[in-house]
Formats: sequence, structure tokens, C-alpha cells
Amino acid sequence: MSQLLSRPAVASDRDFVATCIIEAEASGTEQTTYERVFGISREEIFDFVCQLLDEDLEGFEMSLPVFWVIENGGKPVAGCAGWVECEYGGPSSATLRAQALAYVLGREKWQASLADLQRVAAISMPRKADFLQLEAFFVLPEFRGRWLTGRLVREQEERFRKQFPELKASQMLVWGNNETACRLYERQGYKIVDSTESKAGSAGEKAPAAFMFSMEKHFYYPIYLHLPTKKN
Amino acid sequence: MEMDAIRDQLNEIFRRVFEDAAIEVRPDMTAADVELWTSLTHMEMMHGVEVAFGIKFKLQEINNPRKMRNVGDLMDLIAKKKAD
Repeated sequence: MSQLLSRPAVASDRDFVATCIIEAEASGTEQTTYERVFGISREEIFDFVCQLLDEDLEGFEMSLPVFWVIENGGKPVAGCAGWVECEYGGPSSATLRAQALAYVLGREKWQASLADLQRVAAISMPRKADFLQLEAFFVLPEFRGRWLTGRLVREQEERFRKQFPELKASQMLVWGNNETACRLYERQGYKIVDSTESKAGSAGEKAPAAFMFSMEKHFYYPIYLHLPTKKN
Repeated sequence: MEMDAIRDQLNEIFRRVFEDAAIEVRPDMTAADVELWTSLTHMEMMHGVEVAFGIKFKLQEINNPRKMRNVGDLMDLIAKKKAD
């Protein structure tokens, strides 16, 4: 069997990265939030996400450079996104995502879906500025059970903490239905610190769950203290 | 187009979209400074800017967090597009 190697995503990973984004949006349910809110098919969503990935937007959560993948025999089998929220002091990732989706979907469709978007926004947690954000975890079914999610978390944390030595914490937003993901992240040191109020029946039907968790992990020590020491 | 004229038009748009008649835009202003500036109202504001100035933004121009950090960057982009 080939060795599992980790690396940043590259252009040839585009379809896999699009799958990561879409599967994470579905959060284990039949439909993504986008399908529910905009009334479009999974295939259309896939095309829109690929279109955004092809735009090569710098520092944006739906861009190839923010993705880290684990490959097997040259093919990606697991991946997730990572970025520092408001790294340049600019707009939030939610604003960038809204802007990008409105661009590819068209303003009319965006405007027609505004009421549902507002309902979903009401049950979404805000991302904290200057926190590492980890998002869009996906592992191919045949590679599950090998602790690849934990490996992705550790490698993304290490990668960003080396790049940003002042990084104090990491945050993940998890839909309330995804208890499996919560347990996986708890094993990596994340704790649920907040959640939105459940609003089932209004926003709940337009999102994978009627509420969302915010999970955080704080980095109390500089990254170099975590590196293994060489034994003589 | 002069920056004063851009600022005056932006003031009108911001006051209408963000429902605050007292807003005075300034170059270092960000969403954190305006109570109703959310991802959704941001879309209304940007649409208002396109209509008012008769311009069309490209995604590469507005979705770059390194280049579009605050109102000052937006004013610069409007001036550049009006000059083109």
C-alpha cells in the first residue's frame, strides 16, 4: 500500500477540494445549505464551487491555497481548509463567501433567497478575528477509521503556528447534528464554548441542523515547545 | 472622480443600507465599526455602490482580503474604475 503523504492542495486537486467543501456543507445530511437555500442541484453547486476555485482568490476559504490534503498514491484522500480570520484586518470570511456566492449565482437568485439566508445567518456562529479557522473536513469513505481527521487538525495547527507564532487559538464551527465531528475535535483538544439557540422549523429546515456549535482550542505555549526533542 | 465626491455618495449609500443617518465614512472604517454591517447588508452596500457609480466590480477586485481591507480601499477602487 502507498504511503499517506501530506501536502498543500494543488490545481489538480480542484474536484476533490470542491467535494470537501460540499460534503462539509451537507454535514452528513442529504442536502447542503446551498441546495436548500438557493433551490439548486448538487451538480450546479459543484460547478459553482469549481468556478470559485478556478478564480484563485487569495486568502479566501474557497480557494486551493488554504487547503491541506493527505494523498495516497498521488490522489487526495482527505483534506480540510485552514485560514486566519480577518488576517489583513479586512472583511470576515462570511462576507467574502456571501460576495463570492452572489457573484457566481447571480444577484437575482441571491436577492430571491435573502429571507432564507437571513434565517440561516441567525443560527450561524460568528468566526473570531485572528483565530485559526479549520473547516471543510472530508475523508474518502474507504480511508475512514485511520485517524486522518486528527492528522489534518494537527498538521494544519502546526503549519499555521509556524507561520504565525503569535497565533493564540483555533476555532471550528460545527452544525449541531454532527456529534461525530464534535467528538473527533474534542480528542484534538477542542472544547464547545458556545452554540446558537435552536430555531427548528424556521431556519432549521434550510440548514443541516437547527443550531451550531463553536469549538475552540487555545495555544498556551509557543509552537517550539511542542516539537519532539532528539534523544541521545 | 474626486475623493470628496466619492465619499459623499458613499455616505448616502451607507446611511441608507446600514440605517444610520449619522454615518460618516472614513478610509479606515471597516465592518467592525458599523453595527448593521453584516455579510448580507454588505451585499446590499456593494450593489448600491455599483448602481450609484455606474460600475461593475470583478470578483478578483472585491474578494481579496489583502487588497480590500477597508472603506479607503473601496474608495480607491471606485476612483480607479471611474478613471478607466
